[in-house]
Amino acid sequence: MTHEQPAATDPVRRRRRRAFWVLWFALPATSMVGVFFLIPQLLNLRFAFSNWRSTSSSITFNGLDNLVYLDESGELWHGIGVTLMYAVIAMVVQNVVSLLLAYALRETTRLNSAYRTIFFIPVLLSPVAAGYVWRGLLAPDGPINQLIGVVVPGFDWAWLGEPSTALFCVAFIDAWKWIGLTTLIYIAGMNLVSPEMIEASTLDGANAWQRFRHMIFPMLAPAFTYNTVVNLVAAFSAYDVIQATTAGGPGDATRAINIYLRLEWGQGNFGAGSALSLVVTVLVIAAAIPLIWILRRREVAQ
Amino acid sequence: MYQAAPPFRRRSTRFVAIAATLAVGGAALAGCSPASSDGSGGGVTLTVWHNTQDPQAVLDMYSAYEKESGNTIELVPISSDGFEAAELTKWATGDRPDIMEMNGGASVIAQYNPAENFTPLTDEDFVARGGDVYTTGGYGPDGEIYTAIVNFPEVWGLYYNKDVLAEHGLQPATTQAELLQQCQVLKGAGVTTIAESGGSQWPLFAIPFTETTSIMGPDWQTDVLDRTTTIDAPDSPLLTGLENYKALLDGGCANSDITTATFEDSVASVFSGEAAYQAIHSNIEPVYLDQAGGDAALLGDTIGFTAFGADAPGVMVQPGVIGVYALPKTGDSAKEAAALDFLTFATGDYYQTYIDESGTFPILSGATDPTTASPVMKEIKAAYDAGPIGPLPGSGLTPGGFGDLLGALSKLIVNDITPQQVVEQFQSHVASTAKSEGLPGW
Repeated sequence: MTHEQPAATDPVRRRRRRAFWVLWFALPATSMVGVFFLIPQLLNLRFAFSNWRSTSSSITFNGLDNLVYLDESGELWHGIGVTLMYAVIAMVVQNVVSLLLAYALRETTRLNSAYRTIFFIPVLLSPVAAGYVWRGLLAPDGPINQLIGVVVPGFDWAWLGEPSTALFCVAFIDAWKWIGLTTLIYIAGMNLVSPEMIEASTLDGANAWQRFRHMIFPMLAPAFTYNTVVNLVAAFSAYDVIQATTAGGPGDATRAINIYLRLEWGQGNFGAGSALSLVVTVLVIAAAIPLIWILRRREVAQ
Repeated sequence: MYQAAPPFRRRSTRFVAIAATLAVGGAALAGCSPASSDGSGGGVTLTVWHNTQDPQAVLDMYSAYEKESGNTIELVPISSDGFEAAELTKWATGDRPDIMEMNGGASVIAQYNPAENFTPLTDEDFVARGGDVYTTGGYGPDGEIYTAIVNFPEVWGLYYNKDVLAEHGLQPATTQAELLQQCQVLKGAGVTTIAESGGSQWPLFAIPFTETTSIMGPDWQTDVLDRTTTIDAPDSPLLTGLENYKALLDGGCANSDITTATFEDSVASVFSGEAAYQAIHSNIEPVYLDQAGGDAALLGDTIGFTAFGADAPGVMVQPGVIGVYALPKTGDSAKEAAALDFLTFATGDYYQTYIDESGTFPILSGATDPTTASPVMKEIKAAYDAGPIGPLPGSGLTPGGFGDLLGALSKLIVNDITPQQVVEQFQSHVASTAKSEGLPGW
């Protein structure tokens, strides 16, 4: 007498069924990525190499004309330069300050929880609102200059109006807005280090810096990878904070690629605008992939 | 006890109900007959893209038209912040309204390829009644009129603080030389001569453009397009306007926070007497009124408005973004007719009501000035009437608008660029756009 194996216990069937369900569960996320990321990127690819302008109803392939125009106008390289500077400043400020804050607030006490909440509030603000708030704070007659004026009488500096400080300030505002989130990620990483290890190293004579450098920081490698890459990539898309604070000025000191994109779009040069959008995508890919690869290797090494 | 009605009676009740419904429906249809060929018959729903900053008088005009015509207006708000770009973006998606409130500048209209997409309005009665205002905008590259200008246009000139000038024995400056001269007096007294607003960017156009308009002559833009002259020529009026502006900046006549101040800051500065002048357009008058706490008399006592030019006073005029309408071709003849009917209503039967309610001045003949206009608005109207009026320089040059001229001005105020480099950059932009548009001779 033969007995058929029940379907539920057949490993092949079970694997197939699981794979079937996995695919179904992945469908919503895959669809979202497809609809909101892949298809727009593919469509943009087409427009980036077209003569699409508001003044004409025909859209035809024009090769590299848009990139040549952006190169000749100086927008391309200046925009890339400003965007890279902005991204690096924002990423460095965000990570350094967040690491310090995370170290200070790593223990879960009532006071630390309150501080964590306070530092997280800017994350909930819209970037435009954050920009307007800081525009007021950094105004020549604003509170920050008044505060400095207590120590340096008559101090007057247009932080957002001077080309030498404007880019740093807008990148700093971006960093300030996201520091709360980055700090929480670092705190989560730090909490993976066992207190016994810290205590043992303290008994062995390690000072605070040595404990941080040789025990805590290596354990933060995954958090560091995530924060570095996400901060950098997000800063490549800089637009809202800049628009709300300097709108690309003074002069062209804070004109990141997306500011140029809006200008081209506003003039009806949709093809050139799409080409700039493509440049941002290429920058993100070119920066993110090697960075993730390098940081992952570092994680493994540690 | 309830008794069911006999079958006949039930049928009879149903008959009465149907008859009553038909009667009511018929009466409704009689009052709301099918759309007629001129669109005035009612029953048409019109989509209107409108500026979120439309004042109540404009919104009331839409309601009055609905009541008058029996048509329905469906308002689609377009944010006033970045209005032109937001509207162009919406247009680029392929969406089309029946009526489009828009910036009536010639370069903006050109961006919509109007010959293909807009209904020409050149032969309409309201264009003939508009007179000179249609020389400052409202037209496309082919010379056809594509917009109806209902609202009083933006008139660019100098707002000034009356007390500050009186205190220093000065009359309102109307030329570059007078302004420079007064700058020496005011600077010595610790008063900013002119409050500039680099934080808002667009007001930086005001002085160089107003000066350029006053000296460019009616044919300069045509000459540039015909290639008989260039924007960067040594005798270019735009170059003169920019050099004059730079002379004011180099002379220390502008505010120290020029790169960050917004136009609202400059309004506050002039109203308080920290600065003597602000160069900007007439639609900012309500912001001044706000500064005066809504007190029009106080505003009139404190603030005045004067025309200004390079060598002689003049006013730069452009149709603004409020109360200027284009009619996109939609292919629906009933809606297109109704849209035109709306313009006829707004510029005809309802025009005087609109003027009275809005407190702005009529630009169409046959209407009288409102009694409610503020003293400052009356000075603005006097400047407009005295003229000469001219368009924004460059507004009729290319469909690409002003390119990055605003960015160049932003660089000019921080000494990153010279006036000569600004005009060279603009000439290059015009050449590039003219070529890509296939304009003859480029």
